[in-house]
Amino acid sequence: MIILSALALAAALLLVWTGIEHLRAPATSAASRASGLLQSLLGVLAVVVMVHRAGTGPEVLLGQAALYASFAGVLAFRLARADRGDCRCTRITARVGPTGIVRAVAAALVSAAAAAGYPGVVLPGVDVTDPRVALVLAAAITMGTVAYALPAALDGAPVALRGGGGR
Amino acid sequence: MSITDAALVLAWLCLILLAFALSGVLRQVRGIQAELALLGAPGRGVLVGRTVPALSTGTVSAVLVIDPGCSRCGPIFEEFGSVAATRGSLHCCALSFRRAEHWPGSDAVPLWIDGELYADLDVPWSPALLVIAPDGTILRAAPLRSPEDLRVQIQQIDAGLTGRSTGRSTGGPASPPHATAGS
Repeated sequence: MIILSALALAAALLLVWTGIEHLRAPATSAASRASGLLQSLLGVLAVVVMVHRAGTGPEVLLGQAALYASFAGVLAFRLARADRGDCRCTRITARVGPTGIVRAVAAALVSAAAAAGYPGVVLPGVDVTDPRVALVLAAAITMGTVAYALPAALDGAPVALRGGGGR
Repeated sequence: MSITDAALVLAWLCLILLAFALSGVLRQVRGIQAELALLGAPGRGVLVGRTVPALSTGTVSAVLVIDPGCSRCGPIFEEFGSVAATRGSLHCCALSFRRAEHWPGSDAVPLWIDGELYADLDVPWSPALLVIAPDGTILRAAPLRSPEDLRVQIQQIDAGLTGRSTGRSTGGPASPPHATAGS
């Protein structure tokens, strides 16, 4: 359950961070802002139910799983249509590619598994001197940070940002 | 599962994710390095010695390769027009992929707009002067820095042509100082 807690918490932190980025982006559309608001709210709720046991914990984590599944669906649809533009997943531009889809699917799966295992995945408080809490927090932050940058690192820059072939 | 086992599994997961990220970043760095190497190279293909049938005129010709986005091309094109008007021995023309409004018209130097040929030649400089043999073989390729540079190069080409026609072993336009610049 420690591993599942760390993975689900990493997915929640990623959701919060990317949601805030969508909200703070200077030239975003209303749809992007709404998506950012939903992401950050759901992410914060997921973090809260992971730290404090709550009756709505499974529903919140299932909502997180559904949101990630919808991201995976949208990205898969765009990839199937040979869209090689920016996936607009994070502030770091990344091409629509398999890594973004795999990340979203993995996050959806761990969120769904955490919902199924709730309340077993809830941390025993927020005392960071507790080795179990410290381990889950450290692992979640590390994996969330790496998962944040992974699509940009593996899928590469969107086609529009690459050299246009001119001298 | 004990906390030590969990820590070990999580550490391995983090390491695997980091390894993936690092491999991706290294692959992108290699790609960027390769693109930079191409940008820094003097030319992408060998120019001198290539035979381009489209450039064949049946006589030795000078082709000025110009680009609408280059600020030096207009004055050099103008100078090329005046130089070509005074020299009858050399067939002159200018090649570009698009006409620029500020380029002067010249009867002595027809402007040839051919995007496909321009891209196929892939001349690494703009403006550049090419000397073409009667069969379309590129004998010389060199960048032009100024109208004065153009005059000097045309004089060299003329001297080469004269030397060849009088039988002197000057090497002619086939072996000018810049003959290897296109490689």
